Amino acid sequence: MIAVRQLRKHYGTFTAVNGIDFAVQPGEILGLVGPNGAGKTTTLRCLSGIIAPSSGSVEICGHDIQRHGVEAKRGLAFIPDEPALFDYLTVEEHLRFVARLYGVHDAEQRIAPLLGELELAEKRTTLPGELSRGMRQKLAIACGLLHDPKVLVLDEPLTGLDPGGMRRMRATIGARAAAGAAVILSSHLLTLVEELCTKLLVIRGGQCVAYGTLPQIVEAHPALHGVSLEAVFLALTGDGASPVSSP
Amino acid sequence: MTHAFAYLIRTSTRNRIAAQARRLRQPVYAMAAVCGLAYFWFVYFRRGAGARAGAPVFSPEIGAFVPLVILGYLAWIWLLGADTSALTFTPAEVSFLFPAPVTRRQILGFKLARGQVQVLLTATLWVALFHKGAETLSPPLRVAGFWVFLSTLNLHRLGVALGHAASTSHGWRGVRRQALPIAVLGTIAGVTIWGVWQPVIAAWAEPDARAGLHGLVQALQTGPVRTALWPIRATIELAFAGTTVQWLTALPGALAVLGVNLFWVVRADHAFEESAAEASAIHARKMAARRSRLAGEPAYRATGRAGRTIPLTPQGSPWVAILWKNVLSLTRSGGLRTLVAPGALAIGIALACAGRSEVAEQFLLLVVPMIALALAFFAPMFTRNDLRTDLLQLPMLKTLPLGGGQIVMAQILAGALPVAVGHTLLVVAAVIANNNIGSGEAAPRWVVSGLAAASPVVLVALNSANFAMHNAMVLLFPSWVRLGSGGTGGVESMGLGILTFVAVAVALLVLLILPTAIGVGVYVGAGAQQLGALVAGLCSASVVVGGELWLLVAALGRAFERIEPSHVA
Repeated sequence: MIAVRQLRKHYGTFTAVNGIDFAVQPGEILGLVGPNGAGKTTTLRCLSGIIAPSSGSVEICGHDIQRHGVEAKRGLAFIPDEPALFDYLTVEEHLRFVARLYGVHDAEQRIAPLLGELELAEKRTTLPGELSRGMRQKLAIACGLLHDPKVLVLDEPLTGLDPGGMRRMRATIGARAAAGAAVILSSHLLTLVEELCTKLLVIRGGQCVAYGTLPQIVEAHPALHGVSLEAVFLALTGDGASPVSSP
Repeated sequence: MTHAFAYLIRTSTRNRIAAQARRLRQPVYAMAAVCGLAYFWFVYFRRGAGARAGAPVFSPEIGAFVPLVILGYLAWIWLLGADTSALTFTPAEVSFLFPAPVTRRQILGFKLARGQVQVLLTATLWVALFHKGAETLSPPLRVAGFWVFLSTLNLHRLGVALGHAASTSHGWRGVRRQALPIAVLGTIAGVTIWGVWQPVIAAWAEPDARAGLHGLVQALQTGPVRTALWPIRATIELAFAGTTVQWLTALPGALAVLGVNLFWVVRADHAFEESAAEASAIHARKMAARRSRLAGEPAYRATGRAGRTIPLTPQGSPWVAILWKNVLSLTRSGGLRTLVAPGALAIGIALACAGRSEVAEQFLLLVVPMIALALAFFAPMFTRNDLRTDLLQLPMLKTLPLGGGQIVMAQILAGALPVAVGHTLLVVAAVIANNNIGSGEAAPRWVVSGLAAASPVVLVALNSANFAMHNAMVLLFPSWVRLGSGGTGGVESMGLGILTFVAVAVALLVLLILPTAIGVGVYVGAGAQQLGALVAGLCSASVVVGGELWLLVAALGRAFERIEPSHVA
């Protein structure tokens, strides 16, 4: 569903992402973790077609995102950590806009339940400027989920949500994966990653430090046996951890 | 403290210039810079060579009206324009300077000093572009003259903003503090209106337009009106001086007016801090939105009622969703109303005057083309419901399942179609007015019918070409074009606007060469001076424009696919 090969992104002489390979199959949730400046957002932006890789390839639903961007993006939803909304579209109009873009024929049947599920039903005629931070995040999530994407790319999806919203979002992500979506989740909330993700990709300095299931990663680094995910993360991304090749 | 402010201005300016210079390493920016410099060299040095020594910039008739135009602008900002952009500070300036142990007057001084860099740049551009025929005056003196003129205007704008802020926060007491400047401007306006009232009425009734105009010019240049307008004329005479002697003669008066304005603004600092903080907070939100949207963060908060919507079905071409969104945005921001109001008003006047006043209908026929032209030039500057705003949402746009060409086309049409509607209403008004005047004065029926029949196609084509140029500018030079609908405004930021305007106008002229040639060819080939030939000529020219736009949109689509958020920031 998602196949990334030798992904590289340079900005002048600076290399933000340096030869990353990974794949996410339907039903899998890949946790993308790394310290600040590791290259997570650049990787997600390359995956979503926001920026072009300097080299390497990204395939979404079998389509190369550079050569067949429109086909690839039809099955993709990117939900950023901060919602990007239009000032002059109401909550409901945002969803109608997305419905037209993705050709969601049964939009009428989907919009009402989605607004209800995300507690936005009473705000359907409200402009984004009058929504709270959490509400805006929920609207961005609703826009991402409306067309039932096969690939879901989430950058810190719980930012700004209240505890109830966080719980529902966790359940939603799990449900989408269970329904066959391939999910990539970038987050600094390691408990969320541990709870939801079936695989981990740890990056540092634009390079892959570890990739696989948590047991596979621990098996590759015996010194990390029996420690918490936080300790694993710190060990892999801190000083002394050398880049390793992907299994 | 002055040293700290000077350090801030100096280093910021230096770093900004360095950042702009680094952009020139990119071929597209380097090429544009070379073209721009060549253009300026041609305008600045070559044009002057053919001009008469010491010739005035304006003819005496036009020159007499310039102070009147400036007075109109001042009256406008006093009456309507609480222009808070004159008070804005960047978020960093608010964070560092407002809590710092400095006086309000020092901060105000910093604000004025900081603006001078941009005023100087704008003055240089103005001189290069508009100061023809004054080659006996050295370029530095011309720039200095314009600098004084623009600085005076800028200071006055700031003073008015402070005055408005004082009256808002202190009510009648605040207005009383502004009693002197209000009295001065009121006197100037009153004397001017009193002095030109009779000549205007006489000119209206005068069958010989030249004689009527002469009477009006006489009134403006003699007696009490001349005296009343002296403060405005003093700065204009310096800015538009043709010789060194004229410049030196005008200098003391212009400096005196500048000094009075400076004194007034500095004395008005009591209203400064809170109003500046409020204006800066609004500006900061806009700027934060600008930066954060590029990083995928939330938009600036547009509040208020959403109002009526425009239906959008989920089926159909996806790019229409972009068009729908942008037109809806224009409707809700009030832009659409502004675009159609002149045409609707003109139709109303044409209908109301039908059979009552032929003079009014003739006047309408004279004014409507001017409004249409003004709409064509200014509408793209204030609507901006296209890539010039949406590029702030670039990360989101890039994830949409649309080709670059589709996105660009939707963005161009979102700007062009509403303006074409405004133009169409003006055409309808002109047709009504023309039908209501005597056959001897009216344009031939075949011309009117031909223009009316071809206008929908022609207007969509021309407006699309116009908006395509503005969108091309932002895609090709994202770092040089201001994004979003907000901005600092004012004379200090006019430089960028002038550059954009000139670049778009030149590109548009080049684009229209081939369609015009083909349109004229078809018109002549079809027999000329008849309805069919006119319609055929106009429509074929529009089709050629459409073909050129098709190629341009394809190229711009590829540019959109290449552009990245880091190019825009």
